[in-house]
Amino acid sequence: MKPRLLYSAVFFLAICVSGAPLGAQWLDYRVPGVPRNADGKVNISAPAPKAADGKPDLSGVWESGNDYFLDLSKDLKPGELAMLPWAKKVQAEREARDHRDDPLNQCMPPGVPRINMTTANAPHPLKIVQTPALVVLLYETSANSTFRQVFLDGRPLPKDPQPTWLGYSVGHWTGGTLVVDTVGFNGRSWVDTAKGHPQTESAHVTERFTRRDFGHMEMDITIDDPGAYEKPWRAVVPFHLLADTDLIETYCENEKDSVHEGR
Amino acid sequence: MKRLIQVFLVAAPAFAQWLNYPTPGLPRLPDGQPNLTAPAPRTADGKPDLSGVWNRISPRYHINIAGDLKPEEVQPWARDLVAQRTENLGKDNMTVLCLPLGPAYATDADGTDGGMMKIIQTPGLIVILNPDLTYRQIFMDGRPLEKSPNPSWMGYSVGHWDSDTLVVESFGFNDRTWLDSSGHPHTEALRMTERYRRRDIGHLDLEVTLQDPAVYSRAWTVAVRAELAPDTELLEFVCNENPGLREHWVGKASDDTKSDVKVPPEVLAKYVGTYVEQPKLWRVVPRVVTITLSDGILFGEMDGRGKERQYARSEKDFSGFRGLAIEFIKNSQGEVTDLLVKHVSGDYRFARQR
Repeated sequence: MKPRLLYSAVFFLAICVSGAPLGAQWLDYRVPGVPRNADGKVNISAPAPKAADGKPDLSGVWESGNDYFLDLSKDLKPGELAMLPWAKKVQAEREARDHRDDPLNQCMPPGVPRINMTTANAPHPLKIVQTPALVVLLYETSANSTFRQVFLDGRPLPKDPQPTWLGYSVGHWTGGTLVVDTVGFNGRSWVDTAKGHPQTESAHVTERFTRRDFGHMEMDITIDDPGAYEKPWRAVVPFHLLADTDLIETYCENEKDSVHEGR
Repeated sequence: MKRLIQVFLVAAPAFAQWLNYPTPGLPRLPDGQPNLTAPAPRTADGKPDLSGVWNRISPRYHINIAGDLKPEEVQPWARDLVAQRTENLGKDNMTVLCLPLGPAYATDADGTDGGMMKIIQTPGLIVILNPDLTYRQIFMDGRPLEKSPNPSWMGYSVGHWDSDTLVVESFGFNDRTWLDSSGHPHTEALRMTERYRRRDIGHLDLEVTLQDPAVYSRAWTVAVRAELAPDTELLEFVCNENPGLREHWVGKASDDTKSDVKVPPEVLAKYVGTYVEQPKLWRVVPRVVTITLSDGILFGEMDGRGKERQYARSEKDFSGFRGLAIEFIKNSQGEVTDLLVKHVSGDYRFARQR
């Protein structure tokens, strides 16, 4: 596993200030309780740990496989993703305009599921903080650091929610998998970045988290958005653990961004 | 006159998204209301459990973090900077620029939106979530603070338990944030210590000690309290949704003093009294404005922040609450019954107490 460096969070058009040069803030701190090989390296194929309540413990800093941030549909076969005509038109325009209309460039939250994804140019991992009744997802993003709450206390999804960028999330365990259902989006965020697949207020996103072993997790995503797609579509995204490191703060500075927008 | 002062355009309409969902696990009275004086809960490891949604309440230090310091204990350049920022009505405040408050999340505790936070406690890590989608991580795994951290908006925090008190040490803030809405500055050398004690289910006492010798000649401690916000949740607030806000931020604090209209003392005397906000906002405690008269000069005090002189715009309209206007309302008998506090998000009614 390569050590994590501070990137100055420059992603295409979005200029965000992460505060910058290399400094030593726990980016190489040896986290206690991690299984290690004789040479001190993390044993990534050790079994997945369990939480006190017996559930798989997803806690940790995770990084997605590359480029689902750019194109969440990249592994799909033809026909598996079927956009409604308006959505096809909008998606083509966004791609043709080199995604300069992406709200992420105006420092808005990236939306769900895009917020989970990273790309080689600007790696932004996520951190899972797990408790029995609430899972918190902490994020670096190409815009601001932000978070999501996933309620596991049995509450139902809200019926007529005030639309938001990140929606409202509830979760439950099915065997060894954490199933997170999210609704209540404002319809303004993009599903991915280079492709610009649209999302509407009717989107229902399901993320199924399965920790295969100590170092590997899978996020099986279903996007059910009858406002934009003829049928639900799916992406299975691998994640790997980043051990002995932590998130880096990312905050966007508006005025700088608008200057660098490059219209 | 519509001048902006408290930034956060009120972002919380009363829709049904868990803003009134019963918090699971809260002890309740027979009528179903939460029993906010029940003993503080404990976690499986026996520590007090600070988890929950809280409203910080600290009107005094939100306005002036250095209120307990003598003027000469603040460097002259810093006093000048505060005067300049106050005169500019806080135009360059982080909340206007959509940037994090940094260390001020601990003491920023007032205003129509302010002070809500959610604490999530695990044995190795405590997370504090804020409605503006910023968060703090407080590492409880025994790691030491970094000696020369890369400066950041939110700083780096480690915590430990001192009996039933959570002690959080923070360092590594950048020097771009203000410690209060008046604009008290700090340097990258700032060290902050917070001591959290959950008195009972409903009450959290917080002492914040600030140390920054380049600006303040001694360390000092301010007390903030927080009340549990039961049966509700944080609601996403994205500051960057209102990018043009700063352009509308016009005027100077001293403008208030320039158009003082003479109002007869017998008229001013009718305004003296205590006014309580009705209906209260979603805060636990309603806001209170106290109007007093001294040597023919009208003063207003909101939530114990300290008396502020009110300058007359007309016989019934005044300003002086840092850009907020107030208007006294009479009934048909000519008795003063209400006071309106005028904010960019609308007028807020305060009923006169009898």
